[in-house]
Amino acid sequence: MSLRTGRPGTSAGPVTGPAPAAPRRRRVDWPAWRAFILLTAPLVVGLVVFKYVAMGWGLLLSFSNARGTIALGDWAGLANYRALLDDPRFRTSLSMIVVFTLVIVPLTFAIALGLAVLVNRLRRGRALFRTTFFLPAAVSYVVASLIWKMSLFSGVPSSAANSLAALFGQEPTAWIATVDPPLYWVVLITVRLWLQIGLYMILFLAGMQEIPGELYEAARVDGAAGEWRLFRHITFPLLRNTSVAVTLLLVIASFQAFDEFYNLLSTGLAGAPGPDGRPPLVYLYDVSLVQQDYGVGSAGAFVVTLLIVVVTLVQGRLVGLGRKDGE
Amino acid sequence: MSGPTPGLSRRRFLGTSLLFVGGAAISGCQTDPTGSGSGGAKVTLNHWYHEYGEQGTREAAMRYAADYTKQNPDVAVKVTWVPGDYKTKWQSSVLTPEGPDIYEINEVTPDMVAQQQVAALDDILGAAKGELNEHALSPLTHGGKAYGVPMIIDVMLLYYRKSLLSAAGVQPPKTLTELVSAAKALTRGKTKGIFVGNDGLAGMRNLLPFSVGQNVLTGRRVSYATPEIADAFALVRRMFTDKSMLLGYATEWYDPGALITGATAIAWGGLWALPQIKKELVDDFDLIPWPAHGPGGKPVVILGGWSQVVNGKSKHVAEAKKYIQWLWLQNNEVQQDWALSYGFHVPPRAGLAAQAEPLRSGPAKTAIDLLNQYGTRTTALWAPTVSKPYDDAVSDIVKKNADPMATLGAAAQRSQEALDKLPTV
Repeated sequence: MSLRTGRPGTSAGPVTGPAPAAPRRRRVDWPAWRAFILLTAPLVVGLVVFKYVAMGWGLLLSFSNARGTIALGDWAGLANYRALLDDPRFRTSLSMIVVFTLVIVPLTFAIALGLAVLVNRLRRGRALFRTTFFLPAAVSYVVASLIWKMSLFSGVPSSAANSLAALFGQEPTAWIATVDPPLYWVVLITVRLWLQIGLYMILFLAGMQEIPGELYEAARVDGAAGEWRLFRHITFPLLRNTSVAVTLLLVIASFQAFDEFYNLLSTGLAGAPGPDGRPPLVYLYDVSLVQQDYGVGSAGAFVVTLLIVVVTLVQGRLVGLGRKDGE
Repeated sequence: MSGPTPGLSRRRFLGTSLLFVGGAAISGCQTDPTGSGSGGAKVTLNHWYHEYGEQGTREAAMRYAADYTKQNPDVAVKVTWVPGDYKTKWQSSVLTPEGPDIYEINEVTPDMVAQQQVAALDDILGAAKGELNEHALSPLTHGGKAYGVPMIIDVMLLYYRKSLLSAAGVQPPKTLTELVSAAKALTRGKTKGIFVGNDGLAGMRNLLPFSVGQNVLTGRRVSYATPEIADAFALVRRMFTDKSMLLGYATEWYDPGALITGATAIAWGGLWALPQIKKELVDDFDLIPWPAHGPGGKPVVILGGWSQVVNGKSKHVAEAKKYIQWLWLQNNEVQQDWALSYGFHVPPRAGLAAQAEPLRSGPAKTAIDLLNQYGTRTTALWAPTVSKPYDDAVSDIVKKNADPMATLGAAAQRSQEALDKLPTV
């Protein structure tokens, strides 16, 4: 971040006139610095205490025997990491989140983009549809999960899904409890789609509105007929930066999945879901807060973070994150 | 937009805003003291309860606290009623010095003892120890020392609707095989045969080993990977696959809604729900234990319930012990009121349980008789780290048709590793 300490407009843009005089030594604008420090200090202190100290402590805990305690001192070396990677349930949770990502990211991407195209074409009522599709993004994952669990996809014949199935002569189905075949995925995928499509649709819409209308007019003059061709040759290529950002955000959000898995699939008075509904964050919640093994839990947090960083970097390299158009 | 208020300088506005934000942050961090603090008290005990479902319990807990302060003006008790995932909340709070002085638990793990999350209470239990139900005390006991005082015993068994069974021509099942057949025969129309939890496992997972006459642990040895237990789970899978089980109902097994509405004919449930079931179904229900399986099998009634512990890191351990002693060991009125005025629970002291009038007749008496005959539960070494591989294995067997014996065998190995890591205390 930079503070404006000189005259405006002296540094930006190509210099076309006579060379400017050598800049004088700039006077430090202390009142501005004081205001900056005063206003950002609470944020920085909060960040240091609640993020960096906590992360540092977590890293140390990941090398400690910390069952039922978060105190340091009983060092375990890499034992927690070994125990974690040795647990088949953790490995399963990793493969589960990869599958979830491979399904949810393209689906959300395609539907959000499709909706954005449709809404963008509207001449009237665009704001209404934009708001309607965006509204679910304001709903809590917990609330939505409970609605899906208790109303839409409950196992009783009167649930929305079973009522619909009955019209086609199907027997009532226990959607959430059926893991073989994995019908619970229908519930998980639909709730997340409902919750996140609106947000990404708005991002695409914003990207589309940046595309100059003249391009479409010129294309039509040049004989490019048909909406599909316009989309393929103008809209989609010019949305590249938005698409890259959306994909990145979707992948990270997918790897951090917790709320809907926990709230849809946990049963009883307490405790995490069974082995079929346990992505990495739910697995780590269970290890740390139910089994009270904060050492293994912290090790897992770093393994998952590392995984997200690696996937993001690889994805960034593949899709050309940060590359300018035409590079 | 209006300009700044005359007389309120920017500096003062900023200062006031920061104070406001700071105050809001501090008040947001406080717990929710609902209790009855006394202004002149020298000591304030922080007492956590989980959220009980029965109406009137919260007021009762606060009344007990207020009564104690009246008799002991030096000690105020702040009752904190914790809704939602109570276990996670107390587990997190006792990691810090700000944890509650007294809190409720289901069992004491060896790690809790090693980390001083609980204090030994033998000095206040005294002679009452011999009178407490052994199955209620065993999950609180390590090395001969008791680390909690049982406050209520919850009896869990099977409820069934008499009319639905007779309409289907089904007798109350006495063996697991009969239960599987009965569940199938009772599945008609909008009624399912049996409800043990929305995942098809919750209520019965831990009782099946007892029903074949075995246990999940034998001392410090994991003992659940046996052909008899594997066979029982394979049989239970039949109820899951032939669609006799109610799954995905609106409420969980501890709520009697599914039985009352007729969504299920047989339901795993607790004695706490008896007043509500009796009110709704009058005589159209009865109670049975979970049936036996195999030649060495025996029926099972599981004991659950809540106990109270003193935080070993509390600054007021002595005062907290004295309060618990008054509340759950000396004050008969409190125990009777807590156990029987809201839902139905059994007082852990044998003398009080025997005298409790509401438990001496009808279905409540049946439940008490079954409890005395078949009551059991896992021990304090069945900690979450030990039980987790077992829970996962059972889920795989029942829901995904995993090979019962091989799955239990692999899980037992992991459970044993976890058990070996538990400290000996």
